[in-house]
Amino acid sequence: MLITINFDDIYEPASLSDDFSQMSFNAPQFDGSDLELLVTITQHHDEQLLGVYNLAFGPKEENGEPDDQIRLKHQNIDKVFSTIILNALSFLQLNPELKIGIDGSDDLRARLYHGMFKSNREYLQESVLAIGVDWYVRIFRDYTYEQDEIGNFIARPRPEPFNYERENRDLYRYYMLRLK
Amino acid sequence: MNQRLQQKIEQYKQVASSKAAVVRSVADMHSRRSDSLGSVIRSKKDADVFMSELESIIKRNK
Repeated sequence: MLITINFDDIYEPASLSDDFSQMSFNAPQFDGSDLELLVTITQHHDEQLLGVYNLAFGPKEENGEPDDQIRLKHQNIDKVFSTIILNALSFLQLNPELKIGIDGSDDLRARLYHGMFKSNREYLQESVLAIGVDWYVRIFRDYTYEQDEIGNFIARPRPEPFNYERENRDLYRYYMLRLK
Repeated sequence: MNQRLQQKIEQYKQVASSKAAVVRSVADMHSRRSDSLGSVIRSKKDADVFMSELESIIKRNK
């Protein structure tokens, strides 16, 4: 799926915090309903990753957080993503040292984010640094792989500037963005 | 940040300030859910190495 970011065509926020860390807007769905989507930008779950924030969006769950696992059929996914990304960049404008992470938790989502960065390269490139993160396993000199005590390979994250030549089937595990 | 994006953010702020309900900031909160990145950070050393590589990329691509 190709997503085209256009900051001239966004949904009006229904609610917004002063620092853009929390906002909501109504997104029309294919079934004709309007669904309120909650967008949150919170510090990463791992407190050791200082300055890394997590972007989540979805319908509001009972615990007040967005349900970012649900599958939705938006009437205009370009407009949904344009709204979310402009809000995220507004947050980063106020906090230029911070980075926002987007989890490519499953292939569908990762393909969506990967495609979004690729297809909007020119539109975003002047202002936004896109970063992709792969997982790597260390190979020792005897050609064995680094493993934990029960034999699982130890994967380590390795960030790189988003490689726009990488096809949509060659996904990163994690995506990040920061203002240039 | 280029001028076009700056302008869009300013427009967005104006629309938001006139039409959106004000809600509280959640920027001080930590995400309750771990994500895939969290699953491969096993120690402070892992976190330090990752952050250092990230900062280096940012510095080189400003």
